[in-house]
Amino acid sequence: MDEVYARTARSLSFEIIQSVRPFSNFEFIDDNFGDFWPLRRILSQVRQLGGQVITKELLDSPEDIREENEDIQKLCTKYNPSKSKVFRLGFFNTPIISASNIEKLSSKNFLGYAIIKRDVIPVTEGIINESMDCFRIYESVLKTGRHDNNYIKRLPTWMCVVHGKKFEIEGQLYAQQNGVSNCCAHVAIRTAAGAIRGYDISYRQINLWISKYREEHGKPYRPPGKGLANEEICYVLEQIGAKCFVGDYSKEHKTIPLVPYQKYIYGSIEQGFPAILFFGFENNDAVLSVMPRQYHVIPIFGHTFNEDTWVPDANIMYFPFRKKTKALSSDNWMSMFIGHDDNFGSNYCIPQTYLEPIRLCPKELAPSECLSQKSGVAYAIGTLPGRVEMDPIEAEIIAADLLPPVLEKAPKRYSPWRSRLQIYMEHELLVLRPLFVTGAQYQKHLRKIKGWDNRQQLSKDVINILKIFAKDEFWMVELSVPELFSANRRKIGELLLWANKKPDISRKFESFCLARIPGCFAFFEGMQENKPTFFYWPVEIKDHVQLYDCEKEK
Amino acid sequence: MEKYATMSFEEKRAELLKAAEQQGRPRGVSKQVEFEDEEIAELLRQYQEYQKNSRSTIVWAR
Repeated sequence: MDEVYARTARSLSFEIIQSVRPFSNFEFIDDNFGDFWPLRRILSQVRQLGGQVITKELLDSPEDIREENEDIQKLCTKYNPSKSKVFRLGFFNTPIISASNIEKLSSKNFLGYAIIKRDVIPVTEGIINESMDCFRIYESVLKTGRHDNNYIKRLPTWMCVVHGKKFEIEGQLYAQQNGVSNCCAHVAIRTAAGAIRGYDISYRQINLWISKYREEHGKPYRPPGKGLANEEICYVLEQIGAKCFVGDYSKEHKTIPLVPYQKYIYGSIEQGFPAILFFGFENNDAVLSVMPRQYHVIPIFGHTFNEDTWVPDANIMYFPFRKKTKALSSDNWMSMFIGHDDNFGSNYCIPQTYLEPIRLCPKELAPSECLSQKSGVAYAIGTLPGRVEMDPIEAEIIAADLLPPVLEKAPKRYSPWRSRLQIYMEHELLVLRPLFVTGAQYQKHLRKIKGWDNRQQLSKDVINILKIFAKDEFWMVELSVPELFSANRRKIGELLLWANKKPDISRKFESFCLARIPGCFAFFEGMQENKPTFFYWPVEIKDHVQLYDCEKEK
Repeated sequence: MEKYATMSFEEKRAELLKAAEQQGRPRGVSKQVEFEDEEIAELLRQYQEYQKNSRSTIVWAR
């Protein structure tokens, strides 16, 4: 057993609780842990997953818990860690009669776990204003994806021990802050670290990096429980190995922001990388509080997809991005974000239009010229692999710029879609979807795709020449039209841009690798008199094909 | 495949063109492409400019 983590540590006691109806989750929580909202959310998810048994273990003192207790004690010298208790709850979808049954179970029976910590922390000036004696979720991972329209990619796998037996569970780690040695930003970073690296990160390590950052940038000390700034969150994510691209809505805007914050979030989660939403809300105790507005962060790691979404032309009026690209983004069909909120629980669906960005209007603008919105999204932090130089928003802009002229010159005889696409372009109804892929993944995708007749396929020798790029990393921007994209999950073609190249604004095509459109590939030949020349190479598929990751059709 | 690892992006594109031309398939066509719309290029410039100033600190999340 691994004594480093509470999820794998030895236990001092073991109890089996049959949790099928008429067992009441509410009574179980009230009797054992008191008023504990996030645990209610966890147990209700377990119920929906078909949970039949809860195991309850009292843990000895695993290293990660001892570390947290030490860090709390440094900040609150009167804190007594011996009053801290830690329980591990395991959730199973099959009856368990006795402890010996556990040995016969497999990870298929395991729905997840929750580590619950009780902390008794006295009032400490400058750190905590009221004494605390409560339970919190130190960490929890539950099985996700019980709905077909939920898209959560690159789920990390966690090892958990129950009564000495190891189980694996795929899911996004959820944790609650203690408000002393960590805050909402720490727990959001911890979720993100699991998604980026596939393993855990300690709060102590986060605080060490924050101290280093503040020292290097001449920032004053601030107790960890009092919050982290946007740039500090980005710094830690970059230490973990991610690259951040950030939408900043915290400043005065004279006009509507250039890019909707949803694009930063979607651009990350569609690649299986986490995003962090940083938003403000009015403090209800504003009269008494010195801080009328508070800010909170939550990690987002998935989305739902509504194929019947009506995508109104009002989009054109609302954001400059849509007006200028003259194309629809695939994120229009995303209906909800999936994420955790440490205050309330795990794996929530949040409507993507629920929060608006903050709008702080300059004083010279009349209210009718700028409707202010003081509570709302301050920052949207997207993450990508650290080596990537182009973000998905840049990829989408470049694709919107390059695709129409490349399409227009494709010989009409290669495919009837050539003329059809012209009409969609004129109505600004092309759909663009940027995805991060390697060359090898792209080749694998090309081997699987077929035309609508289910016979047209690319030949092996065509796909084989792409081995030149097998180890490269790309933004593959898929091109579709609304009827094909949402209902049939199909596309017309795609464009490949090198992701490790900083995008140029000079239209020299340095990032462009190739495009595949109905009937042909388009390869870049060079510039002549400042105009690009493309070589159109005819291939077998003249029709629409499956989207990436949708190659298996019903 | 090791020989491709040291190639620049431009060399790889040239290699791709060569491989396509050497295949015994129907010959493709070369065409010059025109760009008229400057708005999207300007959008990329505006976005990159916007991103340079996106790490301001005025608030702390707790």
